[in-house]
Amino acid sequence: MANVSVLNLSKNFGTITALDRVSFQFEDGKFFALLGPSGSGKTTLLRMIAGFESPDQGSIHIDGKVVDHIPVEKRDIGMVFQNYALFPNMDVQANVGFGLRVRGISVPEMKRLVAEALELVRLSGFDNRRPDQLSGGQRQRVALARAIVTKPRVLLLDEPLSALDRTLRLEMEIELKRIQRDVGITTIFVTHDQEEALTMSDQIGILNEGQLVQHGSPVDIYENPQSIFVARFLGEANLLRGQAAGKNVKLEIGGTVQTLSKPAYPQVICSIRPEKISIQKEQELQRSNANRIAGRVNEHIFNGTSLTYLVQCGNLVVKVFVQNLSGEVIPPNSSVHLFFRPEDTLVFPDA
Amino acid sequence: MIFLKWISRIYLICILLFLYVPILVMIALSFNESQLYRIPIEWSTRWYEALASNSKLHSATLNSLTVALLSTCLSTSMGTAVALAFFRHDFRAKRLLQVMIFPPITIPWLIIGTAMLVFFFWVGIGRGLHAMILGHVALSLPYVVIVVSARLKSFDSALEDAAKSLGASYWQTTFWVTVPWLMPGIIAAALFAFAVSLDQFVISYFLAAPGFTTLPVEIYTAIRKGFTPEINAISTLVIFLSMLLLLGVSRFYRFGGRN
Repeated sequence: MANVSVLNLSKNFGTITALDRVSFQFEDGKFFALLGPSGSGKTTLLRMIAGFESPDQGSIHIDGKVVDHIPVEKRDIGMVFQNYALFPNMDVQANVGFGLRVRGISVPEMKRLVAEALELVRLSGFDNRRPDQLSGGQRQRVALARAIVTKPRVLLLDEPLSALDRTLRLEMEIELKRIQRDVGITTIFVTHDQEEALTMSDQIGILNEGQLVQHGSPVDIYENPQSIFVARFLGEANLLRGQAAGKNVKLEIGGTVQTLSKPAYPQVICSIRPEKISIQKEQELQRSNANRIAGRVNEHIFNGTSLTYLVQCGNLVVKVFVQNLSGEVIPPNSSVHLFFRPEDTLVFPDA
Repeated sequence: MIFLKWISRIYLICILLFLYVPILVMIALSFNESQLYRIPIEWSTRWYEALASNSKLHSATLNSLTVALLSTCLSTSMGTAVALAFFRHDFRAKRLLQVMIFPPITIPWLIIGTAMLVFFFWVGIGRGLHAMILGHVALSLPYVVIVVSARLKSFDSALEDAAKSLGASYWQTTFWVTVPWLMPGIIAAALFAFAVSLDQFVISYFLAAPGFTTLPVEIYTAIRKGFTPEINAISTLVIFLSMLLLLGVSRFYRFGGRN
């Protein structure tokens, strides 16, 4: 177990900047997600920590020691690859035991440790199966057992769940989190799936175009995105353009809303999460001092526990999530008002 | 449509006849009593019996197998290493180097043979077993590189990354992960190299020393001296060995299309 820190890492592939001065501390025993769209540099960062790529600038520390010149095989890491990369010519026992075999551990000891690891991932008794005789979820577990059986200092996961179907993925998310908690290993998880990042990690780092744009706990990042990119990438956001005057923003679609802080720029974009908005029919209007905009329901999407309304406000369509409390649905073409609190109205400069 | 189907069948039969009739005739004649190809064929194994006492053919066969075995071992290990280098690394002039591996296939053997003979004499290697092995290695190397590279095309390099992440050194990764995965390709390549060496005539002829010949060279010499059906018999045996090798290759190597 160890902390990992990266300092000012930069990497270019030809003219493409893969990483641009990224610094980050991965604390001991925590679960980190590196989240970003494809090409954001998240996989490059992971492969650099593993040692497969070397940085053009900056350095990587594991346990306080610089590891820049230590090759992959000496870094004492565990890694799970996107397609698992199980050795097809070896059975499950040999796959999981591989890291022990190269370390020269005796056969009985190896068997004991492999059995322990297989038990941890709930695959006891699969020792003699070959990878092609396993389902996707089972391969995933073997890959995980193989990565942690050597008790590495850091566990690196490269989109390990992306090849699984949805049901299996949700199941593995819980499993992975349980195993990580049981073993207590510092884990860095690369994903482009925001849901995975939110549900599994203690800390999220969001990358865009090679830069670490924001990091923090899932709740912190979700509630306080520091840029439009983060607001839209993690969760959904309705973006309303307007002109700021003090704490008031005059919206392009008509109406004025209040914000909590005073925007520093005159031209702003307000971001409001769909679930922070409540919707009311015109004729049932109640008094409220929340922000309010008027619109007309375009359509609704009903999925049992909740409802999504698409509301036409001027030339914009605003998305609203409503919990299904009453079982009542507002029909299309109804005139409605949308309410949201000033503290949920986040403002960003309009670039 | 039925017409077209029949045409294509007849076409296929013609091709097979073209390929195999001469061979079949020779096999049939190797079992013929008469030395003068008299028809109808009288069944006899006398030419095979004659083989048993032909010590020249025996030593030539042994030489052929020795050269084939040694050159196969060398060219297979070297060619596999070349294919791995092309797979793992990107370097300047890689394409040029890839192209430069192939001349032994494209340049006429006669020219290569002459060049080798001249060169080997010039540097003092001369002729004989060692010279022939060198020549055959150079000749079969491109085949090995091609066959092993074809297998490597479907190799997932994440397997090597995984091995390294688990602490395996360069050599452990190579011999415990990559080579076992490549094995079918390496075996096919070795069989290829063996067949190339066994069937090679021109270069062997140039590099044969007095008292050291291979089977193809010995057969050629025998034909020049005066043809006996013994040659048919030994050729039949060589054909069966070659076909057996080819069957071995087909077990490990996809000849295009889906098998």
